Parts: sequence; C-alpha cells; structure tokens
Amino acid sequence: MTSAVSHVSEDMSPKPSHSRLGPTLAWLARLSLAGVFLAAAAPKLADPAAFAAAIANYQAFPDVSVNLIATLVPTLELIGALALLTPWRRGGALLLAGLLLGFTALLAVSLARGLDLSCGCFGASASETADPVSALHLLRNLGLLALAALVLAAPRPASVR
Amino acid sequence: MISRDDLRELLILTALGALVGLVHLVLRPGLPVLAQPAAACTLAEPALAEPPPEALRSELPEELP
Repeated sequence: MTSAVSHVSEDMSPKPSHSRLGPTLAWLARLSLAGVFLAAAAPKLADPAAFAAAIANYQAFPDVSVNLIATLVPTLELIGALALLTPWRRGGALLLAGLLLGFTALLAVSLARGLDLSCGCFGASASETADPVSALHLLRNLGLLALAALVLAAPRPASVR
Repeated sequence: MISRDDLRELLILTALGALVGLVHLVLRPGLPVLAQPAAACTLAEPALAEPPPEALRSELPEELP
C-alpha cells in the first residue's frame, strides 16, 4: 500500500525543466527550417526560368535536365517545408536533409572548381553578381542540416504510426 | 533513428513533390520540359559569324597625344 502511494506521488511530481527543452528546441527547429525553405521555394516557383539559368551556371548538369531540376527542386522544398508543419515532420526533415546534402555537395564542387557564380539559393531574381557562392553558404547549409537533425532526434508524434 | 515509417513518409513526400513539380512545369507556359542543349562548336569548325564590315572596324588614331 505504501509503495503504491509513493508511486503515485512520484508521477504527480513536476517534471524537471530540461524535459521540456527537447520538444521546444525541436519545435523551433521545425519552424525555422520550414520558414527558410518556404522563403527559398517561393521565388523559384514564381520565376523558374531565372532559377534554371542559375542552375545552368553551375555547369554540373546536362542542359536538357536543367528545366526539370529547376522545377522539381522548389516543389520538393515546398512539400518538405509544409510537411515539417504536419505530423509527417520526420519525412519532411529527411527530404530537406537530402536536398541540403545535394546543395552542399554542389556548392563544395563549385568552390573547388573556382566558379564565380551566384548561389541562386533563394531564387535568381537578383543580379547575377548578387550572393556569390562562398564558404559561408557551406556553413549555412551545415547549420540547416543541424536543424533537420534536431527534428529527427525528437520523438515521433503519437498520431503517426 | 530513422525508421521504416520515416522512409515511407520520405518516399510519399518525394513522389508528391515530383508530381507537383511536373504539373507545374507542364502547365507553365514558356518553359519547355526539356531545355534545348547549348550550341556546341569546336575550334576545327569555321566561325559562323561574318567579320564586321570595313566601315565598322576600329582604326588607330593617326596621332597619339
């Protein structure tokens, strides 16, 4: 009897504050990642021709595939960002992490080749000399990858099984 | 840890994104599905452009200051 009472009292005790830190951080990570990718996808979807030109400047893809890539990338960004705001957040985080790995590899190769070009990360509406590819882009992508990892580290929502 | 459910979500989201992208590409006028490859030329081929007419060629000034 006494053990049952003590068990109940343990359950009713307030949880330590650090137990709430994880979900809060994961929520902030989801919100930040979704915001960044929504902001990145919108200008690309609005002007896919300009984004196609930015992709062609990387000289990394066959010419025939440039328009396809220029349309698929922003829609994948959009779907991944929206999924982060739903119970399918882990799938969305995986999708965005995959895109980020691809972007990072492309940026690293371009830097290694010494290409002087615009990133095109948030669309190509700005002039070609704006936002030139640099090591800062790699650092930014690594930060975004860390956010995606934070989302994946959080427990799976109970409604999706 | 990535579970099978996560991979299933990833697969469905990727397929959905690809489908939306293809629909967007097909419905959007002015952007062909497959871009035309850039015109390629080699050094062995003769230049296609005609040389500029004589009147447009720049001439050195006769007297330099």
